[in-house]
Amino acid sequence: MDCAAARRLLREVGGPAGPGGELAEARAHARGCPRCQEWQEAEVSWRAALRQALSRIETPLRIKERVFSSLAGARVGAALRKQRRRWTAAVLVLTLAGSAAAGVWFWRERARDGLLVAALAEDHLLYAARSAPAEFTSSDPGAVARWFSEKVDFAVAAPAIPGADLLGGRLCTLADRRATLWLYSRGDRRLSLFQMAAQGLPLGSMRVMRAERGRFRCGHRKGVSVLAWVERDVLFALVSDLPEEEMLRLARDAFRG
Amino acid sequence: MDSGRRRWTILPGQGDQPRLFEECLLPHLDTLYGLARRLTRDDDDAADLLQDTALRAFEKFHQLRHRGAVRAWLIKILTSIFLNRFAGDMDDERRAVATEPLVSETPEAALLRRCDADTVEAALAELPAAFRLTVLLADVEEIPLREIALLCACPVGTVASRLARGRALLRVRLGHLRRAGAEEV
Repeated sequence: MDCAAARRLLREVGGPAGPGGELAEARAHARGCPRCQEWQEAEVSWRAALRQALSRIETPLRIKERVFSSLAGARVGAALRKQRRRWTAAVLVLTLAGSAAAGVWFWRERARDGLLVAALAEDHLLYAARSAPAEFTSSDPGAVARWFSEKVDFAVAAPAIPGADLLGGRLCTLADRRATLWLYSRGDRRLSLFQMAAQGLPLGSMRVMRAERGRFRCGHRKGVSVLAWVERDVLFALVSDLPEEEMLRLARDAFRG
Repeated sequence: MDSGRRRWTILPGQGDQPRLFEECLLPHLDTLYGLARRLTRDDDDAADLLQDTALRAFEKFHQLRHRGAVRAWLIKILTSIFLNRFAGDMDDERRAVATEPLVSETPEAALLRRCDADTVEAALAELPAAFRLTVLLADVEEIPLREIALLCACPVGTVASRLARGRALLRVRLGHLRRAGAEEV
């Protein structure tokens, strides 16, 4: 290492009293080089003389008081900010937890809703394809209702869907409960009407349709539509591949006309 | 472990932070105020600078790991605030022309020793801000030039140049002031 490099390092990194490490070589050079020693002494001497010449300026009392008073204010502010941060964090955590719980609940409800629509559509498709879909075959709504009434724990309505022929009924289990399935034929199409106790059934994911005399919900699965409504705590679900508007008209005419 | 060489470690959340901070600040308050006074050349500006330094340091106190480094840390904060606030003053270095050799030699120190404190203060106060800052940080506070360069956001070569020119100008002004003082007498 030459004199210039050693002096540059000593001045830039640590000076005569600086830390070791990369200065070790520069210091070793300075120790063995009379010119660099002279330079270092000049540096030290200059600094010492300057520090000595510049007398210590004492901080006036009023400025000390001002500084410590502002620090006290900052301390209070910091404490308040800390407290506010804690509260904000707590509220945030609670909000996040609440949102997460609501999200989970909503997702589960939607999943359950989806399951109900799927179950209704699948039962319809399963039995509609059969040539003799009914367990109890009769075109008399009263007879079918009587057959059902001994087997389910809710009051069975006996609907007569205009323009559709009743084929009969069968019992099924949907959403962990017994349901009546009324099977109809309308031209070359089949209609299924399910009835079951409505309590606790998830319908939230089904689209709401407002008609003149009530509120209906509509869902789709596997090419068929499910039109559902609740009356006296019984769920009615009409399932077919007919257009929604026609299903709505049939439902209205059968039950509310 | 050598207890004499052991450094204080302040961990975040440990102990009474405000009290610790005041303990750390108090011994360096005069140094900071002196530096602020010499940098700003104004009592009110110096008080503002000192207060802002104390507040900034209090906010960032949790970042300080070693109590031994507190003086340099406080000086850096003060310098940083000064540079932000008085950036315009730093442009005057080009107007200053050093006519003397740039190498510091023992006679310079001798000249310093012959001058009284008021003369040195006056000569220092006449230096352009960039040179004054560099001389104060490097020579009085012994901050390494690389750290000054980081604070001033400029190359270390520029800092070295400012230091050399600042010293030279200081020496020239000291000479003038001494001669003027002698003539008055």
